[in-house]
Amino acid sequence: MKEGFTYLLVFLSLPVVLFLLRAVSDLPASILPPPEMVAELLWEERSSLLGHTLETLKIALLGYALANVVTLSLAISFLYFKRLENFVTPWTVVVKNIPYVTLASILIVTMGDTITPKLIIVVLVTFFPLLANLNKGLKATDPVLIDRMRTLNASRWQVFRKVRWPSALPYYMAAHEIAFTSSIVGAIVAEWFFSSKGLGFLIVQATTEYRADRLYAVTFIASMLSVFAYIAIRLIDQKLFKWKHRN
Amino acid sequence: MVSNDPNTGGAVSVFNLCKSFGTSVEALRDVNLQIKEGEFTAFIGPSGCGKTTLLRILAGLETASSGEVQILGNTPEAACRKSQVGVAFQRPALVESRTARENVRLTLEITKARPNRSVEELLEKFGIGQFMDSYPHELSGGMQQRVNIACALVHDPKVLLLDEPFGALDELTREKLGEWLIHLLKEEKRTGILITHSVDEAVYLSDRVIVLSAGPGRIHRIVDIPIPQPRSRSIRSEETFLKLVAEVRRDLYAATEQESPNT
Repeated sequence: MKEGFTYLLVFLSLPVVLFLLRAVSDLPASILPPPEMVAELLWEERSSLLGHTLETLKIALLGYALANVVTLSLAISFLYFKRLENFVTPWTVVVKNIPYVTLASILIVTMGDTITPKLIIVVLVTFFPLLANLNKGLKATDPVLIDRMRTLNASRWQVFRKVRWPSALPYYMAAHEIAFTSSIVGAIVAEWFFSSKGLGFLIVQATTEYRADRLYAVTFIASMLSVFAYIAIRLIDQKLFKWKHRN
Repeated sequence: MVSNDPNTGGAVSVFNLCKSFGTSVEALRDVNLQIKEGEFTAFIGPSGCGKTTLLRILAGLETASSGEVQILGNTPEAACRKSQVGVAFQRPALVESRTARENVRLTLEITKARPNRSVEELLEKFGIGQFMDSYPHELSGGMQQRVNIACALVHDPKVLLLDEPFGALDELTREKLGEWLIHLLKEEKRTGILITHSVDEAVYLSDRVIVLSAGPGRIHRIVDIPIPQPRSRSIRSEETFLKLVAEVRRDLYAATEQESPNT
């Protein structure tokens, strides 16, 4: 896979970038650590790092699943209940535009270090692009196809299942490309606010202890996760739309 | 000049049909017509004369403001429910992610109809046997239209409604597809209603051409085409055909220039 190879090259070139930055600046290792120091830390603390990474992944995946449940419920409801869309849309815009920092602080203060506020933050970060795209996709179905279904006396469910959903799928997948990686960022931000585990927690810990090597290691892991998430979506996309690229 | 008696029964009967959109747009006024089973009728008229509105009413996609429409003795909605109507739209109504075969099968999945001939047989007959596993974007415009018509015919409807299905095609493909379609419909004794902008196409394919006038849409004249079916391609250059084309064209000009009693 060509695309995968390009990402591999990016990751392999990261130590080189770090090495070059060190060469042109006179920053100490405590601020700009050499690549081998970061690699050593990644190896030595692998078990602890893995635990924190899995915790972040759990928040991201659970939150993302929830965001998709919310998105699907709302987008399908909007299709058949226009009034509901008119009522809910302003709320989604308001919620989307509240600074996450404020919202996260309120949630953490209200609910403490539990999984709920973190999941809510991931949902809030990811659901908007999903909802906007899916809503648009479901409504962008070719009206001629809808007419064809009506002349065949198709039920609402048949129209949805056979025509609207396949038409909306490319829009929905395009939203996943953006939103799935955002779920990881959302989970890290949530943990950064208040948590005793996860990559977000590690960032706070490393900052307070002036451990630049750990900060770089966590950054590297978070980037890897996001890239893998993106590649996973791309692979699903290619599988789903194989018919588009057939020779 | 409507020569039909609307009380004699037939494949399609329209009685005093009127259609308005809101209070300001009167699309159709007092349309009466009768189409016999197995007959092929073309509707022609200036833009905005309500041709497509009339077809959409026949397809059950719009409701009449007043008057009555019957297809094989049923309301258009009931006729659709009974799989008695097939509609081929101007733009092929195909699902992009389905192959030609799957698109045709979609009609059967919805209607649950079990026609005597298989989807594959139908596509072979339509000349797209080799391309039945191709996706719409892999097919030419003409091929897509064949699939589109196959989708409208696969459940064996008695009446086929065609809304300018060849409008976007080049002239030669358009003529060839028209010839192919009329041959198919006549062979299977199906009733066909075609909306078209082409006088040549209307005269060549139809048993009758109905000229509509605009503002609001009314039947201006019904022209019988007394050339026996099936018609050979060479008929297009014969005098009878050319005279009929000239006659319909004259009527069309008259219909276009005719002022509405309201205006």
